[in-house]
Amino acid sequence: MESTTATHDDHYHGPASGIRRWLFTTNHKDIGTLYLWFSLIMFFVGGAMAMVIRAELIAPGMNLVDPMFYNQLITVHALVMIFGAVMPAFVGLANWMVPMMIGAPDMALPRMNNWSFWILPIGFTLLLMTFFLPGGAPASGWTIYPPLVLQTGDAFPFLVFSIHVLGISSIMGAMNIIVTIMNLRAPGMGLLKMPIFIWTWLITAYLLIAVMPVLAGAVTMLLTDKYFGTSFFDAAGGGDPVLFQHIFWFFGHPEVYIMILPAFGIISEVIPTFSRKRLFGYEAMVYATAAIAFLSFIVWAHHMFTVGMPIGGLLFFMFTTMLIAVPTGVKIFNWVATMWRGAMTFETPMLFALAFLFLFTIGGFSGLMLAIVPADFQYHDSYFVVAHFHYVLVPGSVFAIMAGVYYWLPKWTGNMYNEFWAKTHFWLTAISVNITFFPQHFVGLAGMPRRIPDYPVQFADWNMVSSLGSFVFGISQLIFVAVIIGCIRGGTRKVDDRVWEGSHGLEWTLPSPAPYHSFDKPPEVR
Amino acid sequence: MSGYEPGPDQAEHVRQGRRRAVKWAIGLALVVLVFYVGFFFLIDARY
Repeated sequence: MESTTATHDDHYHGPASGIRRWLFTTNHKDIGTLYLWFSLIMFFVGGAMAMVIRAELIAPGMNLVDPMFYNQLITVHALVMIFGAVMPAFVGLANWMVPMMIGAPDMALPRMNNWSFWILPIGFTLLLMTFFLPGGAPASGWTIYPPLVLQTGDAFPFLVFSIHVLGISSIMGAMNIIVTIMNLRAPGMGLLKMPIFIWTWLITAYLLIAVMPVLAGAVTMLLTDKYFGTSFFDAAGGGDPVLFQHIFWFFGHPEVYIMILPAFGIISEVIPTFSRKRLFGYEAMVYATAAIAFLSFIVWAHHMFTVGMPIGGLLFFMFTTMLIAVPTGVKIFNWVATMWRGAMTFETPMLFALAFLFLFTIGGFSGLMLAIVPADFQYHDSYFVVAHFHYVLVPGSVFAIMAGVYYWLPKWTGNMYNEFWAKTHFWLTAISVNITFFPQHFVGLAGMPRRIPDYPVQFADWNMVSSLGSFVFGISQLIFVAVIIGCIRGGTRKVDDRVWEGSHGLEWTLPSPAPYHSFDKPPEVR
Repeated sequence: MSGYEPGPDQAEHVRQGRRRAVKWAIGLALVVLVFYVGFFFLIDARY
């Protein structure tokens, strides 16, 4: 950087050719593309595991896999979907959009950006190769509670090391996003002039910085407990296994918001565009996001009501959890108010955003049910919990990612995707996601435990419905891939710079497709 | 490869921004370190 002068001329170079472009790139658009393709691949890897799980559960009895392998599948399915699909997809969207939305030419630390991505495949290679080790993959569930997780065979150090690697990747990515937003905004773009997607990502990045080291610390303590004779979580040595649960959920609950706050940001971009109105209550949205982030640090023990804690603790965590409904409600009502009397149209991104609004709210309400301590004693560890968090994560986070991809894909490629097939993808996905997960509320309330490969015949009907829904959901995602590839290869037509009639923001002032290097001149922000 | 430098109009703004960004990154890395190492001390003090 020191050698930069007004006369140097290397800012017109394009991408390197071949594999070198992708291995050594420091361009935010290239790295964003890598993240997005990686997350799509992981979505299918984790999805394939989900298909096997639902095939096993399609009827009572042991049908397809042995119970130990089933436990490995549910564990790795969760880890892959959380750390491999949802989080990298949001980081990919951030890489593409943060510089373009704030008027910066690139991320502030581009070399670190390259590293953040490329250690990710290494982490997942470590995790996925455990299926082929003696004893198989980790089988403790993604919460990796001791002492159960300490029974893992040769896979255990691989699990710990892969979590470390994924954590380092997330922390570096988060640091890059924070320093870029705080230091490279276009002149004139004050904090309260930033697009809401930028705000949500800024707050998410701070959450990542705060909690990923805690997870790293927890798994390191597991490692030393297993191999170096410590007793952090071993009662026989004076430790406490419940301590792990507290540490894990101190990470785990903010992690939930790490996976939903950027989704809120995307929805806050999409709804105003297709309502042809400005976002209602911009500042309230910012403060609500910050409030949710703050509350996410003081609710963790609601995952542990049945473990046992003093009545004061139960009440504290119950009420703080319920409090989250207030800023979340502010957001939901602001989105509805944005649409109120707007000139709405229903292109695919808007359809996904609307489905998000309805279905995420269902997930939020079942979360409120789970927050009620006496009720939680009934729901805990049942399929009701599985239904709840899948409603939050699939029609919540995943639908928002899909809305974002359809929304920005024309800007990235310069081509319009096939609206008919995109809408077909939406309707098949939206219907099948409900067929898959809504019945899980019923079997959960009736007493079906989670994380079991077999169940009594009374749960058979709704499990079959759920499995059939999941197969339709899985196959529907092939349409998503076909639409994306079709769009990259030319789409249905060329798009202009603004793409959508109602779009606002700096990213829409750039040509479509967005040039390899954007904002050679600082944009004007008034 | 790296090597992208912004155009002349943007150069000074970006150069100053990146200098600040490096300082920010060092500060954030220290926060990460405190959270990571601090946890061990915390746990060690408790048990």
